[in-house]
Amino acid sequence: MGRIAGVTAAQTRDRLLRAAADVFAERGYDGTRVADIAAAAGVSNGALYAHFDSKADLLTGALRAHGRRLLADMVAADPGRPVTELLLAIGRSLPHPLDARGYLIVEALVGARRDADVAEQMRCYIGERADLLAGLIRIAQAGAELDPALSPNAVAHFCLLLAMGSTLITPDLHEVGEEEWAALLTRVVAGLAPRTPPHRTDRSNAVRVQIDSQLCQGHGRCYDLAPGLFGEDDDGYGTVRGDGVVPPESAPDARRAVLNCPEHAIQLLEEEA
Amino acid sequence: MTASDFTREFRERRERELDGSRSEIVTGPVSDWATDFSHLEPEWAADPYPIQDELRDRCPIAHTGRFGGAWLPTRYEDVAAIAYDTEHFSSRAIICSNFRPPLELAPVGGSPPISSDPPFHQHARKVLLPAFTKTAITRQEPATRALCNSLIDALEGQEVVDAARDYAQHIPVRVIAAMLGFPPADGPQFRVFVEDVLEGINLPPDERIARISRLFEYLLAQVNDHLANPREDLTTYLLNAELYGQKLDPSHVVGTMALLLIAGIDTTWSAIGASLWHLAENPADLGRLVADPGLLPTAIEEFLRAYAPVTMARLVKEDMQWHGVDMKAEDWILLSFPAANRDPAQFDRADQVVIDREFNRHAAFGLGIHRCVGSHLARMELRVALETWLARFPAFTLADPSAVSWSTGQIRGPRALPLRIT
Repeated sequence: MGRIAGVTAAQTRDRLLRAAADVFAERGYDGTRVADIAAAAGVSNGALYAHFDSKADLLTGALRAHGRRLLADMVAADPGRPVTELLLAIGRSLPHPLDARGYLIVEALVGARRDADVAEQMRCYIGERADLLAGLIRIAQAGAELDPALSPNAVAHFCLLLAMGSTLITPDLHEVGEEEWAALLTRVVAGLAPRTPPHRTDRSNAVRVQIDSQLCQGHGRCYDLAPGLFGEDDDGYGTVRGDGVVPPESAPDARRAVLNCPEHAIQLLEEEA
Repeated sequence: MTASDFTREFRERRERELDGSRSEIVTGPVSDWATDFSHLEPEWAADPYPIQDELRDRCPIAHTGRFGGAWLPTRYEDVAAIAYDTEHFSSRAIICSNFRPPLELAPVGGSPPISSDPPFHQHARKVLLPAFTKTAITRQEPATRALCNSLIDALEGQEVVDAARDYAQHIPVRVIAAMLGFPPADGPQFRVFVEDVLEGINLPPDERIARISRLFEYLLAQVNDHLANPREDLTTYLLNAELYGQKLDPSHVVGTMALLLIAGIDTTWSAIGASLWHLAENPADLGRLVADPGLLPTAIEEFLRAYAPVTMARLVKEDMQWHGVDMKAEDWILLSFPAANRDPAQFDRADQVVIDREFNRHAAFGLGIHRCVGSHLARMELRVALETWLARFPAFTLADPSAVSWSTGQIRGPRALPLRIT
């Protein structure tokens, strides 16, 4: 594997991805030669091909490492934040201008129209984004923030269209006032809420946690992260404390437990009246 | 059972275990990682991640003719599928080498429950679980903290110390020795046992077997001592434990003791070392954890994801087409939890260490029925080791990056880690 002296393979890869993000964003997929990226990264073509098979590979790699990732960053910064609030915050920021790397996705989507390799890789990439969104939608549905009757995939698709559209219809093409845009989004999100607002104090509509004992293997992430909601039995398997009803202030803990269980053994359920 | 009966039964069974099949030993540089991989080569030990990433894009299941035939899945999805599929993949042997133990060893295996398959597995596992719950492990925490502090006391005043050799290594050794009721002074021998079992994979099988026998002789001596002087520890617990209304077989007792001794040492030593290595290399992360120790448990999960020390092995039960490749009966599978943990299809920013990553379904302790039985112990040791180190040495750096060395084989962690602590 080609290496620059004193530089690890990971550092070379990192350098290549940065260069790829900048060159693709500037020149587009068709206008970029692999040699341009190697030159911008200061490595040989041979070293580049030790890390990446193709130009398409570099493009999606750069997108994953340096593309706009608002959602993932916001979830990481505050996992307890209600999903609807998260979606609103992102929606409000969509019309803001981006730095050059923010438009990498446009170049990638254009590339996908013309090149089968890029299309194949972009299918995976967009699929990952949609899965992340759909996962959040499911959490919001279990937490009674969004109507469980909605298709998580359809809501995810809708959000993706808005996000991708905002990279194409940039503020210099068409402007929208911040407040009027925010007001519209609020109405849209309100329209996705459950038909009857949940009464959290009412036990019949409570959110509950549940462990699937067929799946639980005793990793203990639930009782590590949410000791108020979960305990361990004599063999270390997770147990739900009491009737599993999640008080509103424990909702972030419940979500943390769900999203850190390696076996996907914990569910959030909304109890029907 | 008398000590001599125990020893005789154990030796008889061990004789039968050695009646397995041997494959040709192939060593030397790898020609193509997709078709000739070897996790024993220095390039892999130094930095396996770019190789795994490349294979994940290219294959994603790599093959080698070494070790009599082995496969290396690199995607999370495939690693998880194999971990959950005990129907087609056996745990009869979990260290990939040039020796396959006899088929009759299943479903018990040489070191239950890690080497066991269903339905026996769950019974053997049930024997161990109560001793390794989080609640039970909490009782080891004060002694572990005192140990960490005393190790650090011995380092103070030096400018450069080897954090792998003089700190990380000793923590799991002393803790597991105390739990098993072995003399604390025997610690240095354990390191040799660990090397005998987990490294030296490409030694001639008979030499390898002879080396591993030293471990069993040591364990037999401990059993004899515990039979004569029962006491409150895991060894006495195993000697008295019952399965199907009978005491455990001598081979089961000794095999489980071997598992607890070996599996607990190299792994945790590696995890502590890799975490300290990362912090020495990334002063921003170090500064953040020193300023905000409450973030440490979250950071530890990320270190476990990004530097997962353990790769397990399985044996393919029968010829089959599996996810596009032709697997043959008795092929090894290297079940690379480290590769799964860096799959971008499963983790956002998979190749970056994000110490405040809040959602982290990593597989460092495995997935499915073989979830590491000592995971609560490992997490406690890792947390206490790092808490103590950071409190005493809030600023440290790599003294000599070229002097850092990493273990080869299925357990990966730093074996030399010179840090400047002043």
